[in-house]
Amino acid sequence: MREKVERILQQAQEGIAAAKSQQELESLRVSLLGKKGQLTALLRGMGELDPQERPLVGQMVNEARGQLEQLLKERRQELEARELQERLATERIDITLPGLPFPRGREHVLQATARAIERIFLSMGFSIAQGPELEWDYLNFEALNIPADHPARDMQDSFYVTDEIVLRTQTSPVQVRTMQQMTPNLPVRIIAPGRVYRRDDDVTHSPVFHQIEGLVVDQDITMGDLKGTLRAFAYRMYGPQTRIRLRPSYFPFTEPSAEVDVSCTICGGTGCRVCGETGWLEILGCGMVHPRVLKNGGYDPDRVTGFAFGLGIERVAMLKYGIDDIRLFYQNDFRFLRQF
Amino acid sequence: MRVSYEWLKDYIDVDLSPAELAERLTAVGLAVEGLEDPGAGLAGLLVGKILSLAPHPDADRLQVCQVDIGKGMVQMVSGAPNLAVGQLVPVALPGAKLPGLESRLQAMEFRGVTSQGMLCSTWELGLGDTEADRAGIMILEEGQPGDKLSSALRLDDVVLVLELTPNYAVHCQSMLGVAREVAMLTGLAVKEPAIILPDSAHGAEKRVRVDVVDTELCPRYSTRIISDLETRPSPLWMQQRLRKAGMRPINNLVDVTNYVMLEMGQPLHAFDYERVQDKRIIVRPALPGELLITLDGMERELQEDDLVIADAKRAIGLAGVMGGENTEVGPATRHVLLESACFHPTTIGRTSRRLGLVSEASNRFHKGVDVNGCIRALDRAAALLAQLGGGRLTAGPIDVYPHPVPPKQILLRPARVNKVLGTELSGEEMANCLERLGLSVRRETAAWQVTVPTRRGDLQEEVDLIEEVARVYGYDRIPATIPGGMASEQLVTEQTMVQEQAGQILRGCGLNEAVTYSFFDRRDLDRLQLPAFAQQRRLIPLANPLREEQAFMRTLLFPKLLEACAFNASHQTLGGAFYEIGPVYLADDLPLQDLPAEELRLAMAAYGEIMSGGWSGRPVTAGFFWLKGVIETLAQGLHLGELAFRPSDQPSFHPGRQASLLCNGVPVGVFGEIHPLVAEAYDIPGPVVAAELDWQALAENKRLPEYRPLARFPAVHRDLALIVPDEIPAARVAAVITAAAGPLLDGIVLFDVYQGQPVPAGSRSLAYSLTYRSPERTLTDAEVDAVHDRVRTALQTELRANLRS
Ligand SMILES: [Zn+2]
Repeated sequence: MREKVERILQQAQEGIAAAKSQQELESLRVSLLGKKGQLTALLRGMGELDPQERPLVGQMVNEARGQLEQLLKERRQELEARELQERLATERIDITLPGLPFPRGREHVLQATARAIERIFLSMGFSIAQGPELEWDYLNFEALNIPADHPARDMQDSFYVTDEIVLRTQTSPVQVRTMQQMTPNLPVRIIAPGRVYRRDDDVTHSPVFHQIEGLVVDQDITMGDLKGTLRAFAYRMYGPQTRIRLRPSYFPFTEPSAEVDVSCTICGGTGCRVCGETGWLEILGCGMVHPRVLKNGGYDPDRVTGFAFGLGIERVAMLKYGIDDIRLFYQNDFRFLRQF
Repeated sequence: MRVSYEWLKDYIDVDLSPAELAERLTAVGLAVEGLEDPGAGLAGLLVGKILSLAPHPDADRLQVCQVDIGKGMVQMVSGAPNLAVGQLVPVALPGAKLPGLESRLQAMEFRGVTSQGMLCSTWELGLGDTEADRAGIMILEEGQPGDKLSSALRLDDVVLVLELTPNYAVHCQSMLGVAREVAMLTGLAVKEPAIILPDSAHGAEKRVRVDVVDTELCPRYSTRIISDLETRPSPLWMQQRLRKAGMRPINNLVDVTNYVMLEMGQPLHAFDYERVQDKRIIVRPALPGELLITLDGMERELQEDDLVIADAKRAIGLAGVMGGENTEVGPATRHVLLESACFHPTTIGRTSRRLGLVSEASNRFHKGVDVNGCIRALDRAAALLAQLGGGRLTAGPIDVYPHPVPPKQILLRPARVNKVLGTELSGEEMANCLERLGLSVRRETAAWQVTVPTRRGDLQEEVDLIEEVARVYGYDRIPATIPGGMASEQLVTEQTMVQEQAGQILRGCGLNEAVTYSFFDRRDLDRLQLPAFAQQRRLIPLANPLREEQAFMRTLLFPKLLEACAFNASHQTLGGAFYEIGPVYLADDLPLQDLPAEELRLAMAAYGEIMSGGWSGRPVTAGFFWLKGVIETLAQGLHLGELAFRPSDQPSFHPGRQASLLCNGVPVGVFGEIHPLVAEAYDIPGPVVAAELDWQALAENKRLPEYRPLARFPAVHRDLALIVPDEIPAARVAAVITAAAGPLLDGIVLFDVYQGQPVPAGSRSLAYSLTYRSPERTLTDAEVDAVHDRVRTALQTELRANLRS
């Protein structure tokens, strides 16, 4: 009996080891442990044994059964692993094929630049104000202290609709509009982004372009506040290594007036082609709101002071990306738009 | 304004290098645009002296010269006709580089005789382009053999090119003005030029009578007569200073007037005294239609608002702008009537602009000259004329100045200075700043009295003085602070935020943001097939457009995007999609009496292949349902509420493929396929789709998303396929289903539309997936069957649908 069991075990071990597939293994299992399997047959034949031998043989057969089940399980796992491996090997793909396309429209680089600037000032407590593009000549010029014979009022420079209505040449009329709307409330702290127009068309001038105007009016606003605000803006826009400088300049609606330069974003201030070897880039004009403009806005210049600034979005974007032709912004050429 | 550094040193002992000076001037508002080297190109060239001349043995027209170049002798061969022994000439030795030439000079042989370089003409040196400049070798007036040529020509210098803002143009458009700024910067003193007038002549007194008709137009007219002059070229130093300042030397008489203008800022004019009729000068408005031939040879027709200088008979000059040919000084001139006057700035500006005659003089008068500087300039010029032309003073100064202008007094509150600037300057410091500009300050009263010389016409009121204090103190020394106080409430207009959100959604759908011009071409209206009565035809015209295509303000936005599509199509791009949120300009009445409405529109346009399918997928192409899908996605993303689509008949769109869009029942615009003829007119390969939506009307509908509790009970799905005639819109089918199903219907999806065999012609098959669900319990099959049967019956009875499942 013992020999019988051991022979079965012996043969089964060889058969299991030689099985090449799970199917083969399964038929092996059936032939050993199935209802008509060899071990099952042995157990069934136990009736013919001496009752004293029965427990012993039973135990032996059960041990063999346990052993075989273990062997089968191990072999099955082996085969499973190998089959998985083989299947995965056939599933190899060319990972260098391009990924599937998704639609992604681009934000126009001008608008992206404008929004970046807006966000900075919004986070500094400014609100957005707006005004019309077809503007009263009075608000575009006279209310801003630009007298009738000022060169800026040359017909050559401005688009006129009627004698009294002009395509605004700057966002500055929004200054006056906002003050007239808010007076006598304080503080006034706004930015006014928008389209403006000049009668000019070449590589650096576009008849339509974009500006952002800023205006702060309150008691005790100083030129130092103007400097601090613009410095904070420059840090956020160009990075904390940025330096700014204010140079005296002239705008009819501010006094003192200044041009603001930032240290060149390309060379960091050592001088390069973009900054014309000066190390500085001129980015905006600003100044303390002229008393007459405050008055036109409905505030008493002896009680309040203010500062204003204006920057050209095209210029900021051109400097930032080294774009050399302003007309690219308005052609909407996909080859251009997709670069941003 | 071009400032020669060498010339500037006549007036101030500045020891800053030109580059340092440029930086300091820029910091006080005199922006230096660039530094120029007037001798650039002359590097390596020398002065030579011709010691001997001999004919070339084998060439008739060549001469062989021995030239002393300081450190030795060289032999040169030249064909120039104007050589003589003893002349100083420019010499270029082998290895030198002449301006405008790429290669370096080499020794050359002319028929067996070696030339160790060349002698140069003015033209070859790049210093002149006249016939005379080319005809012969340049003969030098100054220098020693071996000297640098640039130094012998007085071109060893640096020119600072100033870009002056209008306020500084008044007092900085002169060498002395710039010198005063340098004095302010450095604390050095300005050295005024010494004016040494020769004794007046005896005997031959000349006379002139001056009448000023309108002293407002001409507050001051002063003159002198200088006699017995000889017209000749000015000395080299004067010629070169004029050239460096950007003016052309003419002769000593004209050059002196220009030189003094550059030096002092006062324009001057020299008349030929003998040609002034009856020896009278009358300053008067021009007669209407009066003619004058100006110095440039052009006949000018004048108007009453022009100001002329006339003699007894006729106009002899256009005041402040240009002299007349009839009294021009020339080689024959012996006596000069010198004018130093002050004219009304706006009048001069207007005349010079109208006639297109903008000169150094008219520019200065237009910005305003110092009325109290006339006589100094007159005397300075008279002295120089006497010195350079050998003349004598025979009359003057005659000075018509009936209302002398005193220096201006301006009140300055010192506290105000610190309040505006944010500084803590002491009174001492402020006063010092102003005094460095030549202003005098009386500090006895709370508001100081500041006296401003008339040359600073730009300083008119307190705030001008505050700016001057800031400028002198230094903008860089003003402390940077952040404005205090509460931040104003963040009124980021809802509109701005919604716009940004809409942009994100549209870009997610593959549309690119465009930025277009605000203009229309009148021909756009026809390209768009707009009928005669269309209100979009009421274009606002510009009075002075740059060009015909940009002569009107746009009344529609999507055509601008069609242009963008056309531009890309013409650049071999197979397709793409755009959106823009921007204004259109709508007039109620023309011509405009009031500001027109500026309405924000959301426009979209697409053509061709919007997104490639890559190597496996199917491409996305422009079509009605793509655009409708974009609009639906946008509405869902912004939570705009219910959309509805109605038939529409806009002539720019395909008659059968356009829809009017309603948002919560309110029409907000139109979209669809562009009419093929319109697409053709814009030159875009079809099909093209576009939308024009009223952005404000649309964005107003933005709501908070409405939260509903999640379903707790399972859903039951049933499919439904039916055949209906083509005329029955899908929306009607869906409406019937929804109405019949009642509250248990939780969702309806159209998942197939089919036309063709075996569906009969004129009909189509629609397949829906319906979801039934109750919020209160799990539905039984029987309950669902009952509802679904109701739906089937309704479709059969109301639409005569043929149910296939
Ligand atoms: Zn740089």
